Amino acid sequence: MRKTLYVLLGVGTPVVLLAAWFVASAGSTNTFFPPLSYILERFQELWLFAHFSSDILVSLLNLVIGFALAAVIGVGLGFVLAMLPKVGGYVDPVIHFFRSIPPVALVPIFVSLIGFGIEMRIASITLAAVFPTLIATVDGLRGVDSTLKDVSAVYRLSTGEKIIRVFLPAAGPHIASGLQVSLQTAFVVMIASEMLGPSQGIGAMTLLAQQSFMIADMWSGIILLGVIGFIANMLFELGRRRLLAWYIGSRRLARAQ
Amino acid sequence: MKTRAPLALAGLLVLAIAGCSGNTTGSGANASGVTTLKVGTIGLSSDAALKIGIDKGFFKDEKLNIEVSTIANPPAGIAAAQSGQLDLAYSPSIPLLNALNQHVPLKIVSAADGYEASAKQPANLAQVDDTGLFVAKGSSITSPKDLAGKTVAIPARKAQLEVTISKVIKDAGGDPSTVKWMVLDFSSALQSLNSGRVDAAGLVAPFTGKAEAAGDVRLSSPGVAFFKEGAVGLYVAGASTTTKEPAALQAFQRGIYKANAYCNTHLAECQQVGADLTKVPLSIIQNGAHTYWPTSVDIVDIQRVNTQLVQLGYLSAPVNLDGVLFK
Repeated sequence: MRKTLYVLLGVGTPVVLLAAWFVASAGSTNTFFPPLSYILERFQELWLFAHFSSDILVSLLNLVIGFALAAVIGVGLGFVLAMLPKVGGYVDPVIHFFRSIPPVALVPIFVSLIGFGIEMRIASITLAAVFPTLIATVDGLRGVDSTLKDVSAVYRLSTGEKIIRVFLPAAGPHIASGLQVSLQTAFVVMIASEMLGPSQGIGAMTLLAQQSFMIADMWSGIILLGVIGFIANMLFELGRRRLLAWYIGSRRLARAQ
Repeated sequence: MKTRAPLALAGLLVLAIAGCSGNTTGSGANASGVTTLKVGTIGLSSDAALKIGIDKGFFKDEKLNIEVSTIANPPAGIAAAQSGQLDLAYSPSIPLLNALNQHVPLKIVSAADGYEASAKQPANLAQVDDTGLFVAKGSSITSPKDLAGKTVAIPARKAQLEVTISKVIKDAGGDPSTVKWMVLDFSSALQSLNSGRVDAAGLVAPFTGKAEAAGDVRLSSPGVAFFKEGAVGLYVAGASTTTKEPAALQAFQRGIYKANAYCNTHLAECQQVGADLTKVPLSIIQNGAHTYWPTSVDIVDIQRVNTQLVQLGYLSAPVNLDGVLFK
């Protein structure tokens, strides 16, 4: 009963909000707030599927490659730093220094260093997205229960076994939260990196629409970004549930007791 | 006349604020009959005339109090003027025509900067045009025509430099539709030009001076080639101000034209004011193109831009300019 209510709320809220927008904007003559019906019309004309491969795919490919690189580097580097606490102590300030720089501010520097091609966009996304995962990995590993460490020592597990069988699963929930934050950051920088260089991509098109007063196109770009962000998060959540099923199950069990 | 990297996303913010219109605070005459007008500029050295008008009391004589604020780029200013957040905004004619084409209700109140009548222009157009199309030292490109299929850096898509450079390429017999446009801020553009990442760059003073100092070659002066003569930078007002404050806008017209005329005859003084405003060294302003401040807007000059935008394919049909000049 309660579950149906939640599902209804989850599906119903966006529908009600969209309907309210649709009704409130109908017949609007304000240039900056065109009717939603017109925005949706432009949405269909622009994104389904005229600019699909030329812009949407380009942006998404940058996002996926950048995020994947950030995930691998973040988890890998996090392991190294957590396993070598002394080194970790030394590089900690450096990590926090770079983490504190707003990633968007780094885009012009990347342009000067490596030009404005796809490499620049992916490098910007990766650099910005690596830190949440890195820090979460280090935190997760440092927080691993000492009994687990003792037990794995008693069983004489090799380093590889320890990492894969013990530490990675134990830090898994932490790493997953870090990856989720990384995904958000990667998404923001994906848009920001398109402000310079060839005007290709969803962010570049939306910006161009805004600057040339194609306001309905701008809104349709914003809607598309929202939808993509939502889907990306949903896919992530699905993956997380599958990988961390044991953890989610154990939490539920703990609550039930 | 002058373009500044309109890259900031700030425009989006202004659009968001545009929804909360209605609170046009500040405007309206106070007890002593002084009306406050909020003017947005994009921080160019040609803002000197507005500053002179304030400092010399030209606006005070008209019972106006001018509040100047700097906006990120012309589209942001136009959005703010439309919503009544600003009474007047600086905009070159191209973004204005783009906005009019999308039915943003705007009127041209006065000229801000532009070019002198063609007959009075010197032979070396670089002396009047603060924009320039540059190729790197030793480049094999010798004519804008050769830019077909090449990479050209500009500060924003579909904006002034792209349009004016397209015109220059077309007039030289090239095909501007094959150009690969790269959006880059001016420092990155200059650096990319000198490191060979782009084949050409559209630059604005003071970056034109820096390019020349680095030995880069000026292919063309696209601004004056496109606009020929007359007003380019304009002060525009949104519908709320033109209906509520017509008398104050007329007073602004008189004040700014007095200041424009003053600056044309006192160039050195206005260059100093411009240098102080923009923090650009005075010597760079003096060595660069000399600003001209028109004292009227001729609709013919705006119409010419309108027609050329259609010819180059940036507008599908000319914008109706009836009644766009505020009288």
